Amino acid sequence: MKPTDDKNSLFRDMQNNPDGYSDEQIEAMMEELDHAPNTEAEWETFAANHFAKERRIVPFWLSKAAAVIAIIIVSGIVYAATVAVGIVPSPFAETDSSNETISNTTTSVADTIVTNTKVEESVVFDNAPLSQILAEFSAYYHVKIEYVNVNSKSLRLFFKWNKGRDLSSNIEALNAFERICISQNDSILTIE
Amino acid sequence: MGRSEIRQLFMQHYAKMYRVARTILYDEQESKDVVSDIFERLLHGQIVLQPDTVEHYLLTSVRNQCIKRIHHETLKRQLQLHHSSEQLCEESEDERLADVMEFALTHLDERDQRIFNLRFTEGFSYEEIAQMEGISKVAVWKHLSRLINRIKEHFNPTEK
Repeated sequence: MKPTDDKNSLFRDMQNNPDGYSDEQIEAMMEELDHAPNTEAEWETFAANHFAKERRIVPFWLSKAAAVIAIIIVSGIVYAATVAVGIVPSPFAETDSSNETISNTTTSVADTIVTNTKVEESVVFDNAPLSQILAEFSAYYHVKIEYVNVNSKSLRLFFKWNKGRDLSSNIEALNAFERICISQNDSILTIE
Repeated sequence: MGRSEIRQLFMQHYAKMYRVARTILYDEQESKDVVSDIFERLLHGQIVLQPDTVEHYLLTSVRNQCIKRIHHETLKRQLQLHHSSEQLCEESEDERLADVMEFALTHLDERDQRIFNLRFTEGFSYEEIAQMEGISKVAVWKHLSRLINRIKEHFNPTEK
């Protein structure tokens, strides 16, 4: 039996038979039970267990988000440059009725940009519970959500949902979070 | 609830919450676990606190969680199951807690109820209760021991 078990047994016996112990023994036991904990140290332990992981999660995702933003910016610069040197005609240039070929090309490029803007529509969840994010997934992708680990429902995260990407890509992005494990089986998402 | 809010609550209430837990469970680590679990639930938004009843709610949560733990352990021993927690019904435990509180309110005299509440609901130290009641610390201890034993005998006649 460990020393703490011995002490706990003694405490219980004192409670069950308070008249079997001297006042000094009872006072010593009360001193121990009322001994003030080191709250600052306990907070450090709690914070290390509960906040450290979340701090690691955010930079990991933000780094991915930053990479996506960087690609979009670079694509924009390259596109602007090609328009400027005349490789691709400007979509905002007035259509020259005498040049049907260029006019058609312009329409095509502009449509692509508009389409891309639509499909890359994104929703930012800031400190939102996983349950809320998955509820949105459920409605949008028409899938059923099943929680094996119900504690996962309350995990809070910063997540940028790109609606233009398919469900499996977004699940992959969520699974990048350390404490999240989602598997897809047809139209059912299981959270473990 | 954010980190700074949790920290503020932690620094303000941890000591009292821990004290209540130790009075019921005795075990130092188990008491820390109970208090830590409650702050974890706050962090994950599983508990929403009303500003005017924060301390009362936190201390009541500690007391209820401790009683649940004891109940789990008791059932485990009685049923000789290794994983009895899977078989326990949350609703029946809540009913049992309500029964304990009703017993405390209907079977204890006014002074017993006052001491019970000072320790288990308000989280006062033995020293503080002794001063409020004008009795010695040892008398407070013996008083509380008798109350706890009465409750135990009522709800667990085979356990002591």
